[in-house]
Amino acid sequence: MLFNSYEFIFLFFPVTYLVFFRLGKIEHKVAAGWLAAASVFFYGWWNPAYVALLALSVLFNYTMGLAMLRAGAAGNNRRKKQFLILAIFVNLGTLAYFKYAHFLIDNFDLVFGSSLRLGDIILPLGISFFTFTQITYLVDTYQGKAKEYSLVHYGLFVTYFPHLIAGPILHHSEMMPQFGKREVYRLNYQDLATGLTIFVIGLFKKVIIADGVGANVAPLFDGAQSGLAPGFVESWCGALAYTFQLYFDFSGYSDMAIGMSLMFGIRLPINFNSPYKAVNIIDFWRRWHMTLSRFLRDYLYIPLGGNRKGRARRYLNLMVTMLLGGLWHGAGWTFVLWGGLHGVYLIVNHAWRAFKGRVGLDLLRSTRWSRGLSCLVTFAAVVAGWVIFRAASMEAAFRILRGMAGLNGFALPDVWLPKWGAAGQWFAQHGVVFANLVTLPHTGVINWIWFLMVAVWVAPNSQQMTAAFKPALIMLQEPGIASRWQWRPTVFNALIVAGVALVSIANLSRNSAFLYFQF
Amino acid sequence: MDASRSYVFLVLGVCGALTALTLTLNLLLAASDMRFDKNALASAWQSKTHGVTYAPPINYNRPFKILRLNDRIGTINAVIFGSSTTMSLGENAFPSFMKVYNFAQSGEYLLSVIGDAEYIAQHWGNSVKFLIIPLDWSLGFIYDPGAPLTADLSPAAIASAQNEVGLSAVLSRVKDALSLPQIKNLLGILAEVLRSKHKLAAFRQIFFEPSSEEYSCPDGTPARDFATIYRGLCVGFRYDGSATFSNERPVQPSQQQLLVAAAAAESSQYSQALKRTAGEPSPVILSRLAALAHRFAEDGGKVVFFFPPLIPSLEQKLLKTHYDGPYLAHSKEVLNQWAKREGLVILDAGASEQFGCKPTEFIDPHHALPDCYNKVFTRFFKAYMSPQGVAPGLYRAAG
Repeated sequence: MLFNSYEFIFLFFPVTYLVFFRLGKIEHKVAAGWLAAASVFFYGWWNPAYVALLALSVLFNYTMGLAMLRAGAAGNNRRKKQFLILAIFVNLGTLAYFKYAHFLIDNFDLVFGSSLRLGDIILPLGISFFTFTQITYLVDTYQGKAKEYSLVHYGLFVTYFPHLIAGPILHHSEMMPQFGKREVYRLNYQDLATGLTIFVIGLFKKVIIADGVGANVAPLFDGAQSGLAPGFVESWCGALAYTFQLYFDFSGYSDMAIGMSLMFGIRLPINFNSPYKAVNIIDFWRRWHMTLSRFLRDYLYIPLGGNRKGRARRYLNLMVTMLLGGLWHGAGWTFVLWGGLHGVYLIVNHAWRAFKGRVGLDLLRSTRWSRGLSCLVTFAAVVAGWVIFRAASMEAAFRILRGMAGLNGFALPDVWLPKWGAAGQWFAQHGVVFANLVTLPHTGVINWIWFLMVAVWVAPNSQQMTAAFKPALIMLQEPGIASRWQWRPTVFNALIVAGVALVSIANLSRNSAFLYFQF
Repeated sequence: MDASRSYVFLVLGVCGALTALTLTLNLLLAASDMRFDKNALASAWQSKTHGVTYAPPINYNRPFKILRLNDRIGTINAVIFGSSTTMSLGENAFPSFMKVYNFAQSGEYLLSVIGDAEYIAQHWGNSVKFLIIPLDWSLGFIYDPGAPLTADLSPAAIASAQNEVGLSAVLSRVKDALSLPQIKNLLGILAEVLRSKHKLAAFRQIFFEPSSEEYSCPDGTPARDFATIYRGLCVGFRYDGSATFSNERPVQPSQQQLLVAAAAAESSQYSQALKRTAGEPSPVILSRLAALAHRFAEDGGKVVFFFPPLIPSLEQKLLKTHYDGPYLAHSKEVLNQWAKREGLVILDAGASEQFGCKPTEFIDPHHALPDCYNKVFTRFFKAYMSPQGVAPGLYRAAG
C-alpha cells in the first residue's frame, strides 16, 4: 500500500487512526499492539509472503537483544559480544542474500567466466531500512544505551508503518520513550493539525511535483542507455529533472511519514533540510537523508576510526563509508561509483578546509556572493552524481555527463524557433542550432526546472514552516524564517491546505511508487 | 487548541464535501452504466445502423464483442483475434471475398485467444473459414505459462460474465470516480450542461439516459456514444469490429527515434518477457495452436498466424541488442521451425518498414493503425492467394 493511494488515504489510515485512539482510552498496550498489527497488515499488503520474513527478523533481533541484556547483566561481556556478532552477521547475511546475491554472482561470472544461475529473488520492500533500524538497536543494546523487554513495543518500533518502508531510520532511544507516554494515546488537535498539514505538503510534493517533473526523466536516461548521445540542453534538462524528482519524491515521502506520525502524537527525526541549499558537500550530507547520514556516521565511520587516527586514515574512512553507503542504495556498480564520487567530494572538501585552516583563513567568514557561488558549485557536483545514480549503466551515465560537458554538441529545441520569432531567426543566423532533440520530447520541463530551482533555493521547507509546533525530533539549528512563511492553524491556511489536498487527491490515480522503495 | 480543532475540521470538511460531491456525480454516471444493459443496447444499435459505438467501460469490451460476433456470424467467413494491438485491423485489409469480423479485445492474451478460436472452429466451422491469430512476442503472449482457457462465446454466457464484472467493478468504480480523468470528464460534462440551452434536460440525458443522440463521424458513418467519456469523438468499434482509436494521436515523425530508443531499452516492456523466458515460446501453446490449425484444415478452413507490426526500425534495433537480440532471434527461429514442421504460415510483420509502414501509422511502438495493417495484409494475401502460395514458415516482405 502506497501512502499516495486511495486505499491508504481513505481506508487504512482513518481506520487505524480512529481505532488507535479509541483503544488508547481503554488500554495503552492494546492500542500499541493495534498499531503494530496494522503496520504488519500495511506491510503484508504488497506481498503477504514477506510478512513472515519481517516477523522472523523482528523476533530474532528481539531475542538477540534480550540475550545480550541477560549476558550483560550476568557480567559476561564475551558472550554479549558473540551475540552481537552473530546477530549482525545474520542481518547482513539476509540483506546480502535478498539484495546483493545476483550482483555478486553476475560479477563472479564476469571475472571467472562461469555461468552460475540463481532463481528469481524478489527484494522485500524496506529490507534495507528495517535491517539498519535493527542493527542500530543491537549496537545500542551492546553499548548499554538501549534496553527493551516488551515485544509489543519492540515490534512497534521496527514495524511502525510511517517509517517501515523507506525510513527515516530510527534510533531505539528516540522512539521507545514516546510509545510509553500517556499523551500519545490521547487525541491532540495541535499535533493533528500540524501533522495533517505536513502530510498534505508531502503528498503534494510526491504526487504533483515529483511525478510531474519525473515524466521528463526517462527519455534522457532510456535514450542514453540505448546509445543516443544527448546534447548539452537535453542532458542538463534530464539531469535536473531527475535531481528534482528524487528530492521531491523522497522528501515528500519523509514529510508524509513525519506528518502521519505526528497525527499519532509520535515525533520522527527529520530526514531532509533543504539539501540543495548546501554550500559544500559536507553541508549537503548534513541535509540529505539525514537519518542515513547519522547511521553511517555512528555505526560505520566512527567505529572505523573516524577522524581520530590521522588525516590519511580519516580520508580512507570517509571513502569506505561512502562506497558502502552507495552500495546500500542498490546492487550495481553505478551505485558504488556514485558513493565513491561523493567520497572524493568529501575528501576534497575536508582537504580544502584543512588547507584554509593551515593558511590562517577564517572558515566561517563568507559573503553572500561566495555562499551563492559555493551553493551553485555544490549543486552542480550533486547533479553530476545523480546522473550516475540514475543511469542503468556506466556507458549511459558517461554519455549524459559528456553531454552536460558540451562534448555532444549544443542545440536548442526546434519548436522554440517559431516561438521566439525574430529573436529566434537572429540566433539561427548567428550560429545557434535549432534541432529536433529526441531525448527532450517535452520542452515544458524548462518551466518545471526554473520554478523548482527557485523553490529549492528560496522557499523554506516544511519543517521550517511548522517549526513553532515542534513537529519532529531533531529541530533545525538555523535562523528562523520570515513570519509570512510560518504556518499557523488559520482559516486561510486551512483553505489553502484543503485545496492542495484536493489537487493531490485528484492526481492519485497515477499512483506511482516512491523511488526510495527500491532501496 | 481551539484554533487547531477548527483548522482540522475545516480542512477535512472542505476536502470531504468536495470529494463526496465528485464521488456522487461520478457514481451517478457509473450507475447509469449499470442500470442499462449498454452492451445489448449498443450492439442492437450497431446491428441496425452499421455505425460506430462501444459499451463502457472502454477497457472491457468482451461482452459487446461477443454479442456483435453472434450477430455477425451468419455474414462473415473470417475472424481476427488478439488484444488492442490488432484492434485496428479491419475488413479493408483483406481480399473482397473475405468477410471479416475483428474479435480482438482489450488485454486478450494468447491463452485466451486459443479458447475463443477453438470455440469458433467447433461451433461455426462450417461458415468461418479463416482464423487470423496474432503470435505476439512483444507483449510476451507466446511465452505465457499455463494451459489455454476454455471459452463460451454464446450470448447466454455474457450475462454471468457481466454479473461477475458488475460486482468486482463496484469497488474499482468508486476508486475510478475520484481519478483525474474522471474528474476532468465530469468537469467537461458539467460545463457542457451549463452551456446547454435546456440545462435540466441536458443533465438528465447525461446522468440518467443510456446514450447520446446519434451523430456523424467525419467519414459520414453514424455514431452513438453509450459511454459518458469521449462523447462526440467517434470512439469505438466499427461494424467490422475494428477500433477507430479516434481518441489517440498518431506518432509524430519527430517522436519516432525516442520512442524506438525507449522501446529498445533493456528496461522496456518489450524486453521483459524475452529476458524472463530466454525467448522460449510455450510448447503447450504451440501444440494447441498446431492441433487447432490441423483440425480446422480438415473442415476446409485456414489459420493464418502473424507477428503484429512494430513501429519501423524497432525490431531491427531489438535484434541488434546484446540483451534481447539473441532471445528474439531464438524465438523467431523456434517459431519458423515449428511452422515448417506443421505446414503452417506465419506472416512476420515485426519489421513493418519492410511492408512500407511509416511511424505516423502507429499510435505507440506496438499499436499500428489501419494504413499499416492494410499494407501488411494486402501484400501477404496477394502472395498467399497466388497460384504459388506461400511456403510454410515465416513470411517476410523481402521473401
